Amino acid sequence: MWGRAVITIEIGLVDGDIMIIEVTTPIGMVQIIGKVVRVGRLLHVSGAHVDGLRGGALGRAGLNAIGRKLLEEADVDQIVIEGGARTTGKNPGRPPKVFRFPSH
Amino acid sequence: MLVANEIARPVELARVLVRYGLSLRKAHDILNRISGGACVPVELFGDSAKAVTSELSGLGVSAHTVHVPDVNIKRLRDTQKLSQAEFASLYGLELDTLQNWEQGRNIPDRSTKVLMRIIERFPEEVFLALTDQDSGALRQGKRLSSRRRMDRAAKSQRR
Repeated sequence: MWGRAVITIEIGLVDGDIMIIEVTTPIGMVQIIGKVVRVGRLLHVSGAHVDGLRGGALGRAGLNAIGRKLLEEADVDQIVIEGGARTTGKNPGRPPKVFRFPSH
Repeated sequence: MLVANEIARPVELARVLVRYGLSLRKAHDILNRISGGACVPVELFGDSAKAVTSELSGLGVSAHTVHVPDVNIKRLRDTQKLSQAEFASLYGLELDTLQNWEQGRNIPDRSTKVLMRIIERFPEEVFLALTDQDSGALRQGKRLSSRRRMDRAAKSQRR
């Protein structure tokens, strides 16, 4: 499995605290749009939407590698991502659970 | 007017909205609202409405073009069998303004065109709204001309 060394993170577009973040991995690019606010050592992303790879393509290990890379690049201890209302899947129109990395 | 179906590529949609003239902040706001089920009016700047609609459709968004309606006000008034004074009084217009529109000396502004279009399409509903009546009168089934509706309303007020 690939680790965070092969992941690159770039800011695609910025408008104040609204950003498109481009995460390049060995299996393709993931894009995230959201409102990004840093509160102390915590990076909070709200209204987040993601696209670029099919669901489950990254796996838990891939998500963890991206999480670690984000912690490193943003120089924070935790990332909290609150998704916007789902645009596809079983419950479109409803927000997904809040994602914390690391989860503790 | 944008309505979401199933947006498989939300970030790409935001990029497209930016390309059509929105700020990223506005594009993100619209993305959040339409994915939550809202219908959002938005002004986009593309080569053609058809091209914009087609591209958005490919991203899972239905775009409905809002046209500024061009209503022939004199014909509308004739259809309702009202004099200029009656029409102006009923819809809260200045008589000389109405006369200027009908004679082509002035052009109604956008909001007036919208109002005229609504009156043209839904005359009974507009009348009920203006006279604070519920829609029961409509369900009784008889479609009345504006003149007859005005006469009836005047009679009921005198009682």
